[in-house]
Amino acid sequence: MILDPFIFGQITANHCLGDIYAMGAEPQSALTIATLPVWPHQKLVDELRQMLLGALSVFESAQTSLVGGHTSEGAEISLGFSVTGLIEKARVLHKATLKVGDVLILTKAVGTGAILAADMRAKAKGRWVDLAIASMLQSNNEAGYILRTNDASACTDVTGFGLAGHLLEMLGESSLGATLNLAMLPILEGAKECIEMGITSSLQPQNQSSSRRLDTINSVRENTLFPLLFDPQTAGGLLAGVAPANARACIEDLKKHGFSATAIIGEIHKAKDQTKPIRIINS
Amino acid sequence: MQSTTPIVKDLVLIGGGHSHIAVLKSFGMNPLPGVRLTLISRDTLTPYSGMLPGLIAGHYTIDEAHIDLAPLTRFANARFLRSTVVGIDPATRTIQLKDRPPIAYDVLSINSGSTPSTHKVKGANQFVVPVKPISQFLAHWQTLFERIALRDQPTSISLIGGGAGSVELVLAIQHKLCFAQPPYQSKLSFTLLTADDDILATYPRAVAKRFRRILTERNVRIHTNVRITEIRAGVAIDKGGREFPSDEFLWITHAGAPSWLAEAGLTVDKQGFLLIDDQLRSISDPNIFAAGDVATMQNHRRAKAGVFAVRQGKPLGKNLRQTLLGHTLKSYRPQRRFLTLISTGDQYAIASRGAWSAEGAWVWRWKNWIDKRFMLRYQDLPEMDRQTEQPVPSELRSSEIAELENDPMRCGGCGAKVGADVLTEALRDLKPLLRDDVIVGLKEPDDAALVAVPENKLSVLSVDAFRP
Repeated sequence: MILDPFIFGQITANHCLGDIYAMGAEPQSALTIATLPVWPHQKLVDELRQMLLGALSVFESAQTSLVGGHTSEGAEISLGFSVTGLIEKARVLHKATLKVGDVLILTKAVGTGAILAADMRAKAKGRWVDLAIASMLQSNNEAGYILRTNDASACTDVTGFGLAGHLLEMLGESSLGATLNLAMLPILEGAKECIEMGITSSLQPQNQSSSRRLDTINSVRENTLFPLLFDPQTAGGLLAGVAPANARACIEDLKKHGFSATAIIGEIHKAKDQTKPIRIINS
Repeated sequence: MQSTTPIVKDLVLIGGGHSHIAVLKSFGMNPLPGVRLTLISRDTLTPYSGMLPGLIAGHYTIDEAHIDLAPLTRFANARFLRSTVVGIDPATRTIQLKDRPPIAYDVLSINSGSTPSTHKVKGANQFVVPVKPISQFLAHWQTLFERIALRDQPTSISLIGGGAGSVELVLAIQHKLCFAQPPYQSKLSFTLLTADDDILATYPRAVAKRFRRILTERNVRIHTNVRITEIRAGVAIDKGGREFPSDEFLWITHAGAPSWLAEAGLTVDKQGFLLIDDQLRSISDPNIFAAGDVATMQNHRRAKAGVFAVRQGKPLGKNLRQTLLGHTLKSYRPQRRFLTLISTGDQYAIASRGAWSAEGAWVWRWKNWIDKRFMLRYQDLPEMDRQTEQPVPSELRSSEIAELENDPMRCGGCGAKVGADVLTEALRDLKPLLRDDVIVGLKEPDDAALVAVPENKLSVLSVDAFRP
């Protein structure tokens, strides 16, 4: 993903905290789990230290204590964190509690999967990568807080399954449906160009299999931006349902706190066809 | 898939200058298994000095005149650290970086260009726009351009420096402001202030003569033997106390060296530039190489110019490779006579080589062709084939590598134990945040951590992991 170990550590920690913020909770502790390849001892120590220092800088600003970890040997480097957080039962922000009439708010632009895939092939412009990194480093902490104070009815963080995959999780087995407007989707600079080059993440095909649950017309399916609904996100934004009366203030507050890409991307209604609960439009 | 070749040596490149882009390309074309490259550069786009005047004049776009370090480092399978160097410690072979932890190297190469040495001139920091580093100048240029455009009364612009860079820049700025946008023509005046007897002091007189003529035709005033020692609001003052009023001052002379070279105890020249031998290696540290403006070849003193950095790229790449492999280095001797092409801002240029010189629009077209061909080498990278893993060459196979490969105990459970040592060492001296509700954490570790959950709260748990 990112070869700079310090930045990689920061992004990984930030990504892992995303689940905690999406629950409306405050993070508390983290355990690290790392796989390290067979390298000379000092090179491994240096690499792991850079990654952990990156993670610690993020945990520090998130008031999270790294309490331990485990490292094992493997063919490739991997880094992850198990994190805990705290929340009062009454204040939990669930993901499958959307209400009819809610507008859907997304706090970050999508496209990190495609941009990182293009970067790995030396096909991404540096500007796109820099902006994608900045987005992945942005904490969801304040966004979670703002959504909660605006009485969001449900919230999740958009990560590996892509926007459509996570929205399907939010709708679950309920009788609810959603309409997403492709034209309103905030998109990272360069993501469209990556799709046009035919470059998508290796997780894309798996994610795109959920497109059978989308109700849309061919012209929308053929739109260049359509694949971005399935683009897996690293440290993606929060996706939340907010009552229309609160939406405007909520968006303004999010933008004021640095979530400049924040947008209303759709709305929640009764599902017409429960096998295809998400309708995609482009207007 | 990540490479399964172990990292044996780290080659760290400071700066994305004209020599280092050639080093990156050469390692991308011909990787050295076991050697990991790391580029440290504050900027993702590296400006090509040959096209800077054309960019200012409006003949090139930002993308045309820059090399994008993101795809180039990916092509070289190099780590790209977007950061600024603040120090080097040759004893521990580490580089201190701004806002992030130090990074280790085995072999280091420096091609970070020059920084403005305006600090010796009183008031310069406040009243002068430095032209180097170029990346920052381009941002300054935007604000300068808008400032001038908004001003109703006549505006005078002075460039301090009389070298090729200064001459090219004043003509490019004039072209952009006056000829591309005629309304400004009548209200702008331009001046060159040089400490030398003549402009283009390091060039043949025939070239200087041609430029004196062109500058006169274009109404650019030239003041020679003017060594500016102080700048106040709207006026520059020279050593003799003479005053040169101007609304804007641009500084394009005597760029300085970064202070961390001398602070690291490395041998530098009088201006603070790293002294290097004919192998482009520091004369005081065999693990440090340098090229371009930041270095001075002790046996071949040449003017600081982009052309040398470009030429040094290939021998630098070769000698870095030779050093990593423990092979004998090759000597490099910069040319004494070389072709220079200096533009005049209006798609017209002057060529010279030795005593020969010529000028015309055709020279600009020639220069444009050469520059574009150069850029294409870095903007149009070949497809990469990383499928076949090459073994680490024998020269890099230390006893530790052989041991790692032959250890029969390296499997599942035992390997995990080795990893634990690494984790303990990596965590040493790190100070994780302490919380009152963390009863047992890394501060006084036990078999497991103990974390308190207040009675009225729930514990929220999650896990995720990534490959870099």
